Amino acid sequence: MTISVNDEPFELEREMSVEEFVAEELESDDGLVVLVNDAVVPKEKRNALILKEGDCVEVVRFVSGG
Amino acid sequence: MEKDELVLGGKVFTNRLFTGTGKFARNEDIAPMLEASGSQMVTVALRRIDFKFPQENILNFIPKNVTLLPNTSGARNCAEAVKIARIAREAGCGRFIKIEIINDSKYLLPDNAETVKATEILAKEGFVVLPYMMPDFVSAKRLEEAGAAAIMPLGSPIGSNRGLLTRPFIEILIENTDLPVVVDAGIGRPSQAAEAMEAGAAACLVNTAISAADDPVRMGRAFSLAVEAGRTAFLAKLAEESKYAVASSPLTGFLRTKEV
Repeated sequence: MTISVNDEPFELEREMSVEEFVAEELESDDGLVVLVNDAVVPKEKRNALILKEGDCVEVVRFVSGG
Repeated sequence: MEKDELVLGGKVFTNRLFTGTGKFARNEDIAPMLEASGSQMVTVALRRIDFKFPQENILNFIPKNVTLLPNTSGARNCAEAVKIARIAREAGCGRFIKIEIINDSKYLLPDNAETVKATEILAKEGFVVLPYMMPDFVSAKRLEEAGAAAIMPLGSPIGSNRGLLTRPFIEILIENTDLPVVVDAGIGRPSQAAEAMEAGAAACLVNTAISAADDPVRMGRAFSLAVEAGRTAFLAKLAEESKYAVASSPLTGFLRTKEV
């Protein structure tokens, strides 16, 4: 199924939770904030939220800035 | 001497130098810079991750006792700034937000009208809003009405190190608003930070001039001393200027020779 991640199409081989997505597709979880369809998914809710076809996922983090 | 504290959003700041985390050659220098300067508030930004070039988690380099001031850099309008602010808060970064809304990539000048709109929305949601702004009196009044906790006029364009090019306009803000005025952007030298504080600024936010110095830790200390010197001079009230000399020693009892 296809979702979008940071505005790019992204293929998922199977249905998975946000937690699985982070663990399997991202290098590290350190300081990442995940949004699904514009809503922040708190860490403790990542396991319960299952990604669906067409979902818009955004992965952001704090970086240096002035 | 009585205590001199700056209170923003219910938090007490005894140090009036706010700092940024951008452009450090080594993020490992950030914590020692904060320690050397005593800065109690530091800015961070929020970005989408780049799968090809993973970046470090900047929060790992900032001691926990320092207040985080996430900025909304990258936002081009009110809606984008509001979204970034909400993400920052939900991500556990606290209630402080620096609104930074920019449409122009050459001078990086802020859009005051959109900034007023975002300030109003976010202040109502309980954020402590510190808007980066062009030093414009009318906008400052609007930001005050919108619930800003302070206003942050630029001294000169971001990262330019050109100092207080806008000084007369910043002085108008200091004299005519009840909000603390934090000079943000463009301060390149400690002497310029001291100048802003002497003029009555409540604080200075300095990033590039510290992080791009050869020794950012020592430069952080230099800025801190300058901010403190300028603030102390402001509180002490400067002596008046005069066009002609005014002798410092008594004008009587001169030891004169007979032939003149």
